[in-house]
Amino acid sequence: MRNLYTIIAILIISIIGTLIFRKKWIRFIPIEIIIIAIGYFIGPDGLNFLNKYENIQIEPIIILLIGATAFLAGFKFKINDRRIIKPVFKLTTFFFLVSFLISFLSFFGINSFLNLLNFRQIILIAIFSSSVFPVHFIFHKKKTYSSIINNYLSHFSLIFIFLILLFIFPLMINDTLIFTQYINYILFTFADIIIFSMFMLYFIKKSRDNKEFFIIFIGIVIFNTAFCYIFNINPVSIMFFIGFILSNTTGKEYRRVEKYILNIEHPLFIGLLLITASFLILNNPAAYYIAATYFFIHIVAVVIPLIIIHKKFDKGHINSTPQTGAVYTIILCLMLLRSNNINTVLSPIIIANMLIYIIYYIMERSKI
Amino acid sequence: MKIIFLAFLLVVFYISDAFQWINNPGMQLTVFIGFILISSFIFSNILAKTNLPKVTLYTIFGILIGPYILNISPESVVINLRFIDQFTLIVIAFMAGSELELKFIKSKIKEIVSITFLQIIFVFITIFALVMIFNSKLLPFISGYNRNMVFKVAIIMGFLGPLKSPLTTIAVIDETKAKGSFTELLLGIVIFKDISMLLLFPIMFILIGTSGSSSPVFILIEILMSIGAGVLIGFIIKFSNKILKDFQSVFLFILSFIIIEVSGIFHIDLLLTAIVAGFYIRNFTDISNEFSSNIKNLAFFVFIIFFTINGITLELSILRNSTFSVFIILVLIAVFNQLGLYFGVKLNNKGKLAISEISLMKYSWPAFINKSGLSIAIAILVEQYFPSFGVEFRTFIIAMVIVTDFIGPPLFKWAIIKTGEGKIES
Repeated sequence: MRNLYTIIAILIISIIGTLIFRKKWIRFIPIEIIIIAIGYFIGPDGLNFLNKYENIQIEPIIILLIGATAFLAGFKFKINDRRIIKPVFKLTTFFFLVSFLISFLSFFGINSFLNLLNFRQIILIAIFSSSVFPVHFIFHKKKTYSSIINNYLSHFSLIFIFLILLFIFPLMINDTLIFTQYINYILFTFADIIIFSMFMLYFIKKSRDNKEFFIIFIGIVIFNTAFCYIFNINPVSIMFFIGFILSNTTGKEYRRVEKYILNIEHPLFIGLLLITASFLILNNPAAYYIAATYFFIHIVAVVIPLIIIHKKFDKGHINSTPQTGAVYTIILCLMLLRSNNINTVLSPIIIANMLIYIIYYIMERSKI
Repeated sequence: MKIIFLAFLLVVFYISDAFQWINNPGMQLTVFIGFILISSFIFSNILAKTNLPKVTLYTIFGILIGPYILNISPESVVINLRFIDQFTLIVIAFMAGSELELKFIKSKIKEIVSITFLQIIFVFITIFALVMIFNSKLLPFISGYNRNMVFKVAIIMGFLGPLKSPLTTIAVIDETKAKGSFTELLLGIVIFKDISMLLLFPIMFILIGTSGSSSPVFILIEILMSIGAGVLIGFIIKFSNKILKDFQSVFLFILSFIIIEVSGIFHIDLLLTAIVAGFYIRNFTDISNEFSSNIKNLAFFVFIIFFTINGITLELSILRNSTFSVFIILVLIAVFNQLGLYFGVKLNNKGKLAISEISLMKYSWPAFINKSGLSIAIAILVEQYFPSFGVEFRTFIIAMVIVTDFIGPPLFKWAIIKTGEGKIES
C-alpha cells in the first residue's frame, strides 16, 4: 500500500502545482524551485518517501511522465508554414553548431585543469548546453528575430538534441558496443518510430472520440517507453519523433485531440520535476563546481550565436518558449539508466537550471 | 490494421516476456499495464460487431493471454495489479449512486423493496431446500457430512443465491448509454438488493455459528457511519468541482484510494459510502452531469484493466467438475428471481402495467444473473471457517462466477437494447 501512497502524493502535488501554475499570481511564486525542493525532500536523500528502487508501482508513473512529455514536446511542434522550414533549419544549424562548439571547447578546456569529467560526459553536457532554454530570460523584450522564427528555432534545436541523443544513446550506456550492435540499435529505433507512428496515426483517425484516442495514447506511451528501456533504445527521442510525425501528418484530427492532450501538459511537467528532483545527488562537492561551470558556459554558448543572429536578422521580438519540460524529460530518462557516468553531469545541470530560473524569477518580479 | 497491430503487440510482448525481466519487476509491471491497455481495447474494438459487451470482451482477452491459452501474463505482475479490485468497486458504486434519482426512487420505493425481498426470500428458500434435499448429489464435496453441517452449507448457499454483481450491470448500462424508467427501476432494485445482502450477511454468520463480536447495534453504527461518510464525500466532490475542473477525474481517482484506506480504519462499508456519495451528488448538487462524465472517463480506464485481470485470473479448470450443478443452480436462481419480480410487480400494480413494469417483467432477468466478487469474498471466509470442505466450496462458487461472467453481460446487453433504452455502438 505504501507504493500507492507515493503515487497519490505525486498526483496531489501535480494537481495543486498545476492549479497554482494556472493562476495569474504565479509570478510571485518560484513554483519550479518549490517543486524541485519538494521532490528532493521526499526523495531517497530526504524522507525516502519517493524511492523508485523500493516502490515498483511508481515505475509506470515515471515511464508515463517521460514518454508523454517527450511525445508532447514533438506533438506541439506543428509546422504550419512550410516555407519557413529551410531558412529556420539553416539558422538552427548555425545556432546549434556554434553553441555546441563553444560549450564543448569550453568544457574541454576547463576540464583539462579540473579533471572532473570524461570525454562522454563532456559531449553530453555540451549537448544540454546547446538547448535554448535561457533565451526567454536573456533576451526578454529585446528586439531581434521575429517571434515565429524564434519559436521554430527553439523547436528545431530540440530536434537536433533529440536526434543526436538518438545516435549517441547506445554509446553512452554500453562501453563495449560493437559496430553491428550499433547498426541493429539504429535499425530497431527507426523501425519502432515508423511502426508506432503508423499505428498512432491510424488510431487518431479512426477513434470515435477523444477518450478512445486517449487510451491508445496512454497505452502506447507506457508500453513503448518501457519497451525501449528494456531493449536499450532511447525512449525520449523515439516518443519525441512519434509526436512530431503525428502532429505534422494529421489535419483536423490534430485540432480535435490537441486541446485534450495538451491539457495534461502541466501536471506531467510538475510530476516530472518532482521525480527528477528525487534523483538529485547534492552531496558531492564536484557537482557544484560542474554546475557553476555549466551556468557560465551555457549562457555564453547561447548568447553568442543569438547576438550574431540578432545583428544579422533583426526583425522583431524574441518570444521563445522555454524548453524546460523537454530538457527535464531527457534528464530523467538518462537518470533511470542508473549510470554513474551519466548521473555525474545531470545533477549539476539541474542545479544550474535552478539558478537560471531564480535569476529569471527575480528579473520578472523586479518588473512588477 | 487493428488485427495487425494486435498481432504485433502479442508477438512483441511474447518475445519480450521470454526475456524474463525478473531483475526489474517495475519495468515488467509497466510494460504489462501498457500492453493490456492497448491490446484489450483493440481486441474489444475488433470484436465490437459481435455485440458482446465490452466487459465480456475484456474478460475473454484476459483468458486469451492468461495461463490456460497463451500464458504470457506474469503471475507476479498480476498480483501487483490486484489493488484495482477495490478501486473498481468504488468507481462502480459512484456510478450506481449517481444514476439514482430521488424523485423516481420515492415514487417506486414500495416496488423496489417488495421485489428485492421477494427475490431474496424465493431464491433463498429454493436453494436452501435444494441443498437440503439433494445435498451430496448436488454438491459432491459435502458427502459424508452430518445433518448439521449440511444445514450450514445450505444456509450459506441460500444466502449466496440472491447475491448479484452490480458491477457488470452498471458497466453494460454505461456501455449502451441506457436511460429511462426501466433502467432506473432496475438499477434501484440491483443496488437495493446489494445493500440488503450486505446487511443480511451478519445474520448468516450468526445462523451458522461463526459470527464474531458484531452485534446488531454495531452493524447499525457502521451503516450510519457509511451514510455519513458518503454525504461528506459527496460534499467534498461538490466543493472540489469548482476548483479542480479539468482534474476532477484524477481527483476522484485519489479520493477513491483515500476512501479505501479510511474504510479500513473506521470500518465503514465501501460500497454503501460510495453509493451514498453518488446519490448525494445526483440529487442534492448541480454538478451531477459533470460528475457522471468524469466518473465515466475514469471507469473507461479502470474497466479495461479490471476485467482483463479478471479474465487472466479465472481458473477455468474448476469448471470441468461442477458444470452440471452450477447450471442447475443458476437456472433455478433465474427462475425464482423472475417469480419474485413478477409477484413484486403485481403486488404494487393493481391495474394496467406501465411500460417500465412490462419491460421489467420481460427483460430484467438477465440483469440478475451475474454473481459478484462478494460471493468469492464470502466463499473465502467460509474456507477459513470450515477448512474441511472450504476449498471445494470456494472452487464451486468461483465456477458459478465464471459461468455468469460469460452469459450475464451479453444477455443483459441484449435485453436492455430490446427495451429500447440502450443503444448499440455504431
